[in-house]
Amino acid sequence: MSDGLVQILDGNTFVVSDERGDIEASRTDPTGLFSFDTRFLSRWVLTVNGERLNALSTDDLQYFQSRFFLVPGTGTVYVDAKLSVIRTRAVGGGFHEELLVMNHDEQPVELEIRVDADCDFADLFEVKDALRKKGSYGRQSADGLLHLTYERETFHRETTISAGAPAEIDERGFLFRVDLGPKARWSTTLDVVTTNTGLGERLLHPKYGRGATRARPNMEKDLDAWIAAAPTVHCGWQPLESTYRRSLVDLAALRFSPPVAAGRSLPAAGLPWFMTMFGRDSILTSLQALPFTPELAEATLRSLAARQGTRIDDFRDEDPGRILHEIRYGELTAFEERPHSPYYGNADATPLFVVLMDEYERWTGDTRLVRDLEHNARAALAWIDDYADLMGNGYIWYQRRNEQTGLENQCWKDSWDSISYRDGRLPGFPRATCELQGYAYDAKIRGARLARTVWKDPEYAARLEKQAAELKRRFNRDFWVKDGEYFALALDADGGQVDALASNNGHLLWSGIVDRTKARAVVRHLMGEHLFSGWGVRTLAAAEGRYNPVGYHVGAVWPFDNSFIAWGLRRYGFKEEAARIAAGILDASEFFDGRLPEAFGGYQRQLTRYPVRYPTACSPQAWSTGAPLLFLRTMLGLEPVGDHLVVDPSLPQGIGRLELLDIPGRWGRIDAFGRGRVAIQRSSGLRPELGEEAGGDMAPPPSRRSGRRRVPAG
Amino acid sequence: MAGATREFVDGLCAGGPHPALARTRAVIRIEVADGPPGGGWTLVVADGRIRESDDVEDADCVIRADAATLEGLATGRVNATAAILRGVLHADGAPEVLAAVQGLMPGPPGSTGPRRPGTGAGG
Repeated sequence: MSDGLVQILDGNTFVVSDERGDIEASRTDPTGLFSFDTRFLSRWVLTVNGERLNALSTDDLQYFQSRFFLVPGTGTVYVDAKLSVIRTRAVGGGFHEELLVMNHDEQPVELEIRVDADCDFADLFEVKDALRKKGSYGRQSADGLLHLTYERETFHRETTISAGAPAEIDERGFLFRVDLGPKARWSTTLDVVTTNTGLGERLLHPKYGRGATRARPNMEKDLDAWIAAAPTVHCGWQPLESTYRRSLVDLAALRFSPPVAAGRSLPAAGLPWFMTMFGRDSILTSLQALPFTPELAEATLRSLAARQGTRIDDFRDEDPGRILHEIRYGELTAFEERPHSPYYGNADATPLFVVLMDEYERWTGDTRLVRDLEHNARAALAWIDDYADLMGNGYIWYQRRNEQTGLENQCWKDSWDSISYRDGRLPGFPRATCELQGYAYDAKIRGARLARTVWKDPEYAARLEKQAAELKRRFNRDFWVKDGEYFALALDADGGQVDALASNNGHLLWSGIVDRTKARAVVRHLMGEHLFSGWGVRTLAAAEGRYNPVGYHVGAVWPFDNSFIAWGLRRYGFKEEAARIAAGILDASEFFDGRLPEAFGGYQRQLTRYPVRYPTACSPQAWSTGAPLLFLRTMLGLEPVGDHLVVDPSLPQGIGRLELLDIPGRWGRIDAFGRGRVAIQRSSGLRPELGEEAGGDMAPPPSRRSGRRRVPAG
Repeated sequence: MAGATREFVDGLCAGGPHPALARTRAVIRIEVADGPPGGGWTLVVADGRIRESDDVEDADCVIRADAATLEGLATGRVNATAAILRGVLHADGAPEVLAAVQGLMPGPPGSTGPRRPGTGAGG
């Protein structure tokens, strides 16, 4: 988000305003009150005696609540603060606002306090793509309520606004005439309720009743409980504690309960454009958060299973067994002008669904879920062979069937220029990117484990393992760029290597598809000057034709990407390299107050000294929020083995001592400790934090490797 | 008008077992908004199979639309999620049951599925 904007959110309802709390949305900017992918307020402006207000300060109290301290008058250095206004806003099925006006003068004042309201009911896609509306608007004031409505055939959306104090209501808003005595105060509440009548019933029950001052359910208590249930971090390097807490709070904010989730919450992908269920993002974030909040994984798996593809639908790129890409609830989806009902055009969420299911069971021991979703896991594994192998050569390929509004690149690097040859040329379609093959390999190996241990089908397990072994052999032959000693980014339709060097090599380590003999060369590239910027691994190596340090998928550094690369490095035993990547990204997080953005520039660290935020990066974004969590796991070397949790720390030196307490899992709760031993090579002029010994030490005394087992809870 | 819907319901009951419904036990009521009173269908899902029931039972999920919309759903010309968002299909009750029923509806008639380049064959 741009600076100067204030955002609060709850699930897929969010408000983005300026620093005064005002909303004056143009057709193309994402400010306003949004819910279920529709803008329900595009104008919300407070004036006192016809004057706009000036923000003295703005406090983000919680992710769902902001407070604005305001005085009349704008644009001057001198502020005549005889009058001040405190505006407190909380989101929850619309939003609830409290206005408190204070007269600091010894004279009485007559005030006309006005709140203007309007709405364009834009679909989020219309805001993104600057499209025009096709329906008609209505506005009506009656019985103390202002109704703003939008209709297109049977599609109906409505915003209803009410005030706690007596007001003159017209079609443009609310007018409060207030005689305020010396040193006196006046207050009112304002409630904005969103209605989606097209959804058959009111899907949203406002968390604030008219005039109520507390949400039901109580969101503060819910947040406290969420944080209390998560493990505790103590660290000699304080920024990591702050980053961890920021991640937990942001993850709480990004929780989203789609109608199929039966009240469970899964991670939505990010604010402002992606506040919905995404197959890929929800799965990867759940994987990152597994040692901390395993319930997200369960909700993700059950929700994605409920909407797993069952038929052939070219408009939605749906096939039987395919896991969805994205679901939307706005007008363009309703009228099938966009395919997101849901849209299935991705090639990675389906194997990753099986990967998450296995990893979830390894951590939690929840075999019931694995039995409940056996059919879905089998269908996902069958999709890899029956529908994704477009060339009939044993690889996952993608090519959209919806040529108008479907996605061209159906992997995580989904921008138009992300998949290229070294010389910058773009291949045709279909394409088989390398990490997809890694995910498929991992899915088959993990599916085999589930088949053997839970579904009691050893024949199926053996078949999957045989397929996986063949895939690994083929892959290491066909994707290996011999003269460069790395894996090609993709294969093209002619079977040729799309030979750019990219961060995808790290995901291959994570999936385990890389031959042991090739791993060291891959790691040399990942940590080499062309890929490693000093902050993290670039999406595309600096020597490639399309490299651009601020190119979304062609040079920028993605914290989420790096968190999985570090996991891959650990998997192949490169503990110190994993610690170096963790050090770089965690160091960067401090520049963003603990909230890692979606991506930052791929500039060499010595050049900019600080990580340059990618221009339109989404924040908070779920898998960036999850990155520090996964780094904690990889730095401590946490790995479930049977009913035990193995702890094998490898931490950057500057981190000092790290404690992660009360890690939930099949073992009950367990603690893990580690001490920074890995020296991080620093170039001159860099900040010292993670490159040097931490100044402060913590009791109790250091112990390099220890994992304390506790009696399982309950 | 309700011929395609009738055929769809008959097909569901004759087919199976439906693996996706193996763990679902539910009663689904399909109501025709512009049809005669007492019309529609009551379907019982158990053990992966679906049977029609004439008994009045409390439904876990009620789907209500006009006959033309139901026919569109039965033939794959109407997408259930988009229809709900548009306000032409009303669904109340357990969302997971609704999702399971949606999964049984056919895809659009013209969809061909993945094609292998050069062969024109489906995946």
